[in-house]
Amino acid sequence: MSEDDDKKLDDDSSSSEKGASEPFRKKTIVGMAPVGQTPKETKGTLMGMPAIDDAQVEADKQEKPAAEEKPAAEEKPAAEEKPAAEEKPAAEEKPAAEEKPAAEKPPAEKPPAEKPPAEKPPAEKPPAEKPLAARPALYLAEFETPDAIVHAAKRVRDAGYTKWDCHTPYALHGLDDAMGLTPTKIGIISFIFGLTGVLAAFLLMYATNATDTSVMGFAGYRAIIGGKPPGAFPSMVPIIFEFGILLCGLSTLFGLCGLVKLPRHNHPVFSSERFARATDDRYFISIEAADDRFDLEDTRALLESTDPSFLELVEEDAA
Amino acid sequence: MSDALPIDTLPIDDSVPIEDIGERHLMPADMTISEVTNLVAGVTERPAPRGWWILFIPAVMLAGLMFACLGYLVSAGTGVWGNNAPVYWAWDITNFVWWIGIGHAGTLISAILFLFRQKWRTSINRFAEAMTVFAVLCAAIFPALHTGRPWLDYYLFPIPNAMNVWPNFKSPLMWDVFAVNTYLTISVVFWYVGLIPDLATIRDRSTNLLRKRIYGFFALGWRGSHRHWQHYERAYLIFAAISTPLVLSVHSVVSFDFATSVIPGWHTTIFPPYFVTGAVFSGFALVMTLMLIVRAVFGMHRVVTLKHLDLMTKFMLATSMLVGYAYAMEFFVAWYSGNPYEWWHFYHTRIGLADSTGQRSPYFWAWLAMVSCNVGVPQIFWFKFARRSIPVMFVATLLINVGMWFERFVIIVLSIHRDYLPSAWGIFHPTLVDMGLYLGTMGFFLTLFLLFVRWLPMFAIAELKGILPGAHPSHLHDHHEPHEAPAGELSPAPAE
Repeated sequence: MSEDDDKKLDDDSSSSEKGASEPFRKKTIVGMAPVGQTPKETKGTLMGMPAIDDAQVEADKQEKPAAEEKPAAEEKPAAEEKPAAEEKPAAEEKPAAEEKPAAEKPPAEKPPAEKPPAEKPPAEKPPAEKPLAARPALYLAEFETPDAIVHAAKRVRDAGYTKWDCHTPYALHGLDDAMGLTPTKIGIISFIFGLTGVLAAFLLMYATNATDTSVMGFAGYRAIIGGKPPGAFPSMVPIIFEFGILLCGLSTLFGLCGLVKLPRHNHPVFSSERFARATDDRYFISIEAADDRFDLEDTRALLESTDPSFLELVEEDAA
Repeated sequence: MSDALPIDTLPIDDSVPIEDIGERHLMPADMTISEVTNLVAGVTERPAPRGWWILFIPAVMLAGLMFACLGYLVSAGTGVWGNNAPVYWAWDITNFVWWIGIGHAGTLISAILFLFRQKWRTSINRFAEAMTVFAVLCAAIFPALHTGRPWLDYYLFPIPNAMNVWPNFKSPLMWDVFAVNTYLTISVVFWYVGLIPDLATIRDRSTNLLRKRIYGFFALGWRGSHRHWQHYERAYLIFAAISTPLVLSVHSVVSFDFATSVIPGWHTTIFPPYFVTGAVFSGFALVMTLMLIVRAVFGMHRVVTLKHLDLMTKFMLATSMLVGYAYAMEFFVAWYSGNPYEWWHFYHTRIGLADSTGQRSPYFWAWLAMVSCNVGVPQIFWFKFARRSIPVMFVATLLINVGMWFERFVIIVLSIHRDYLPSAWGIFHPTLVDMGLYLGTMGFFLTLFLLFVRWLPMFAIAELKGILPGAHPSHLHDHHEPHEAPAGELSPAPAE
C-alpha cells in the first residue's frame, strides 16, 4: 500500500462526500467488537439467523491458549463495549437520504485512533472455566457496494497480503484485477481430460472392434457390420465425441472442487454472524491471521481506512 | 467511488439501456439485490401455495400410474404395447424423442444463450435446466424398456464380461446410449454447479438446523469467495462451451437412428438440424407453459417479466419457421430426388392424397395436426398482443407441444406403417399401457418439477443479482461497456 493511494482515497471520498460529511466518513470506520462480540443491535437484522448464544461465545473464548491470555484488566474494557455498542444505532450518522436501517450501522463513537489499544487483546475473556484455544482467525470487513469492495480490495492487494479474500453474493466483475488474481488454470484440466476421453473412446472401440488382440483376457472381434470395415473411423466419431465431452465435464467439476478446495466442512468466516449476508446482499473482505503480514493493529488500521460498514475480528472456533 | 450508495437504494437511471437485448431494463427498475434473495429463497421457506398442491396431487397420481404401467410391462413383456409388425417403433420411441427434445431447450437456454451473452436467460435458465434433467430421465425410460428385457440393459455398456461380447459401436442406437447418458450426466453437473451458490444462500438464511444441514451439505461449504468465483465462472463457461456442441449432437444422434436406415421418410440428410430445431422449439414451448403456471402460482411476475416472455415467444416463432422450412424441404427433396418410394410416401401417407389404387393413408390427420400446431399456431406471435397475452401464450405453447409430439409420431409411425412392400403394410393401435405410460411420464416429470420449484431455488439467484443495475463496480461501466456494446448486437432472438 502506498501513501499515494491513501491520499487519493481520502481525496476521493472527501470530495464526493462534499466536505460536510468528512467527519462522518471517519466515524463510519467502525471499530468493531473484538473477539466475536457482534454488537447486539445487529442481531435482529439478520434475516432470522439465530443470535449467537452468549454463553457459547464465552465458552469458546475460554479455550484460548494460555499463552495468549491477556491480563484481566484488559478485557474489562472490551466487555464494557458491548452495552455501548448497543446504543450506537441511536447516533444517526448516515445522511437522511440513506435508507439503511440504523441498526446496520456500525458503532461510530470512537475515532479509529483510539481503538487499537482497546482491541489489542485478541481474546479478552480470561479462561474462567476451561483452558481454551480461541485465536484470531481473520478480520472480516463488510461493505455495502461493489465500488466500495473493489476499492478496498485494491488497497489490501497493494498492502501485500496474500491470504485474504473477497466474499460476494455473485461473481463481481473487476475483482480479479482488484485482487491481483492470476487467471484460472481450470481450462487446462478440462482440456487434458477431454483429450483423455477422446483417446480412451477411440482405443476402446479400436481394441474391441478392430483387433483380435486380447487385453487382460478380453478379446476383441474384427466384426464387419453394415458393410463397414472393422476399424471404420467415421462410425467411431459420435462416441469419441460424447466420451470426450463426458470426461471433460466431469473433470471440470472435480477440478473445480479441487481448485477451490470444496467441499469443506467449516471455515472461520462462518463464525461471524454477519457473514450470512455474504450470500445475500453484502460484500466482505477477510484477511486471515495466517497471512505473514497479518497484525492485529496494522491490519485493522488498513481495513478501517477502506471505510467498511462493519469490521470485526473473527476467532477460530473452539476446536 | 467509495461513496456510492448501496445497491438497495441506488437510484436507477432509466436512461441506461441494457444493450444486450435493446431494452431499457431487464428487471423491474426498483428490484433490489436482497429482494431477489427474498423472492427466490423465500419460496423454499414458506408453505407451498394452494396452486402447488392442486398440481402436485394429480401429478403424483399420474406418476403412480407410470410405475404401475412399468411394473405391468416388465412383468408381462413389451407385448402389452400396441407395437406390432410392421410398426415396431411406435409411441415408445415417439415419447423418447419428444422428451429428449423437451430437454434440449434447457441446455440451449443455459449454454447457448450464455455463450451469446443473452442476459435475459438468467430468469429462466435454472428452471429450464431442471426441466432438462427431468425430461431426459423420462426419455430414458422408453428405450430402456423397448429393449424388451430391461434387466439386460447393461449389455448396452462396454463392460468386460464373461461372454466376451462387446457392443456394436457402429450402430446409431449405441451412439444414442453414449449421447443420452453423457447428456444426462453433463446436464446434472451443469445444473448442480449452478445451484451451489444459491444453495449457500438458502443455507445462510435457514433458521432451522435441519434445513441448514441439508442445504449446507449440498452447498459444499460455499462462502462466496472471489477466489472461488474466479474458477467457478471459468468452469461455468467451460460447461456452456461443451454443452453447446453436446446438445446439438444429442438430437443429431437421435435423428441418426432414423436417417441411417433405408425407410422412405427416414432416409434423409436434413434430419440432424431438423431434429435439433424441433427439439429446441418444443422445449421452449414447455418451458413457457410451466413458466406461466409457476409464475402465477408463486407470484414471480417481477422476475419473469413480460419482456422475458416476449423474447421467448419470438424464439419460438423463429424455431417454428425453421421447423416449417424443414417440413417444406423434406417435401422438396422427396420430389426432387426422383425416388418414387420417397415421393409416394410424402404425397400418400403424409398429406393423404389417394394413391393409384384410390387408397388414402389412415394417418393423414396426424400430419395436418403437426403442421397446423407447429407452423400455423406460432404465427400468432407476429402480433404484439399475442406476445403480451398470457392466455394466448399458454394455449399456443400447449398446442405446440401437441404438435411436436405429432411430428415425432408422423416421422416414426407413418414412415414404417407403409414400407416398400404393400403386403407388409399395417397399422398401429395404441393400448391402454401405451397411454398410461405416456401420461405417467408426464406425471413423473411434473412431480419432480414441482418438488424442484418447491425446495430448490427456481431462479439463479446469484446470476439474477449480477444483472441488476449497479451490480458491478461503476468504473467498469465507464471504461469497458462502450466496447462491449457493439459486440452485444446479436439480436435478442433470431426471430428479429
